[in-house]
Amino acid sequence: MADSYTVRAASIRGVEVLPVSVEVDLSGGIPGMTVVGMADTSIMEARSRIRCALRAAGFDVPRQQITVNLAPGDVRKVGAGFDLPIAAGILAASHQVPLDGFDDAVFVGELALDGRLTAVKGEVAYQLYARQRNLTLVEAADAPRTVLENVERRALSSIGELRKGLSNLSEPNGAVLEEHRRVLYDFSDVVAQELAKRAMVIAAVGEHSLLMVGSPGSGKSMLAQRLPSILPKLEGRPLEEALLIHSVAGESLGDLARGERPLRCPHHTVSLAGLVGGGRPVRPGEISLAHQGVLFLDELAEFPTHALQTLRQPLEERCVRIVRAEGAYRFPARFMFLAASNPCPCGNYGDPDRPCTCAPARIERYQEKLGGPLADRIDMVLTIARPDAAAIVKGEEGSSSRELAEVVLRAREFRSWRERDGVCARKASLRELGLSHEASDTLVSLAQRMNLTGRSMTRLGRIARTIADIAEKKTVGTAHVLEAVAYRGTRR
Amino acid sequence: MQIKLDHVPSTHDKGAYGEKIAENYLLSRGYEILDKNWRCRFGEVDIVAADDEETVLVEVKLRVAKESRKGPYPEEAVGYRKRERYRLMCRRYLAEHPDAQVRFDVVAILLYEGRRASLRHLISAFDGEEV
Repeated sequence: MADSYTVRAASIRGVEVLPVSVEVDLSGGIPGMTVVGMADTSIMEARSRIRCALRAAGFDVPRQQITVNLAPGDVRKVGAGFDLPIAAGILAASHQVPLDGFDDAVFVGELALDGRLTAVKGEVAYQLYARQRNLTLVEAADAPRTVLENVERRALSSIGELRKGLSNLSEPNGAVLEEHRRVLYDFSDVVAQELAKRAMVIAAVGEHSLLMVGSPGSGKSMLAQRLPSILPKLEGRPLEEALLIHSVAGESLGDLARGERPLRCPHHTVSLAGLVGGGRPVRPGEISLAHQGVLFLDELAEFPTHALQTLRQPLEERCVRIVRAEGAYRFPARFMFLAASNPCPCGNYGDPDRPCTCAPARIERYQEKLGGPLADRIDMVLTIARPDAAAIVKGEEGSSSRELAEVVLRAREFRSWRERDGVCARKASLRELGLSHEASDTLVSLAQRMNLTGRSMTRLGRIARTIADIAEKKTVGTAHVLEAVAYRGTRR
Repeated sequence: MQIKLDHVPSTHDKGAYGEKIAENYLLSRGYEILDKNWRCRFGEVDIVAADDEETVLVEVKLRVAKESRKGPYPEEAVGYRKRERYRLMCRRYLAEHPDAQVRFDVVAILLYEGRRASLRHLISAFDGEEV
């Protein structure tokens, strides 16, 4: 009385999909369901759900020994998305449903006790997998509507619908994601901070990390919120990468699908795993959710030193590797780094209205340590002062996000054109940046006067290169270098 | 189902009485009785019966109904330990009868006053795995 069938399923490991074969075998002996293949607790609980769901849908639960193997057997499987493939495998092995289309399908979904299907996290990952392997994704009817193109999908609202045959099912009709791009925060709301906006544009063009220093209420958070609005629209492959990470983490996809760059603002009490990724099962952290977008750390001084330490490598390599005993996970983490800090321990240094109560030596020490372990990774430092009260009340409008976004886009296009057969400015050494003679001399004399380190000089050069790109000049001039110096801050 | 008894059992032979009732019931349903009080080192199976292709291990439970009508039901006496015991005994049984397709049933009999009783036959009351 042995019947068996194998159904395709998938598990998510990090941000990748692990193909899983669900082998179902029916044999004599004691009736029961055994699941093997390093299944986690939620999969073991699937047995009860499947039993009830099959009965609710009017199917027979074979009164035999049902052995389910999730292959490959040496990798841990997680998630409730295995309910559907296991149930489908049981139905197939016991000849209760038509099997055409099963060979080219991958099944993902969770079963409710009444036989209905619900969607699971990681929809984009499964869609990518199905597209890559030319398979039809069979899933719950409430899975989000197509986020990617060219994906074959079939929807089930209840397990009973498998009787109809896969080809007679329709596509999922879950939530619609809006198409048009809305700009929620606009730089035109920010009054009288043209210098700060200029700094934001420079940072956006060159993807430079930026630290804002200012007393409370000077507008640091307001500026940070608006940075994504001047970044180029998210589309193509970068969009797919961001969608994948957000989908796996269970975050909403609407804003991303509209082309908006993600902005992540973790509080300084965030855990290490929450920041860089980890946990069990291993999930992407804030820095990966900021991939293709902006990571903003407000009150940088409040973040634990070891948390900032762990950011050094991802900032450099644009990805994070999490190594566990069972293997390594790699999450992308290419983000713009933005931070904000007070100018001194009491917060009022430089404020025209409020007195600073810190001793000068303390202020100096505080400023020297701004950024902590990340001090040498921060490219630009911007001092922000609270704008004049009269100006705020008058509601003077400054540059809008649209104007600034155009500047950023043009500058980036100029940069790509310039770099098409040259070195990427991010990794370029001073010699490769295209400085004019005068500009080089200026840089050298500045370095001598201010006692700059080699790294500082290179950093200055790169910022000057970005400023020249904004002006659409192939050669970096003295004026560009001088402006770059304005963003050096008080560090060496 | 409701049944009429011909006499009221004493406390002493309640167990055997219940098994007799269950046996008669199963026979009336077309089951074949293969064995009674099948013993092994793990315990005793009340009735081993054949239902077409399946070999059924039947646990019989008889209880007297209390005043409050909603007593503990007899089937509730087949708790986790009892079920585990049956699984163990089943494996022993399969060692001797390798081709058997086994099923676990419970026959629960509730005795009321006036020589009336209700019988409940739980088919495949539990299985080989406990979640």
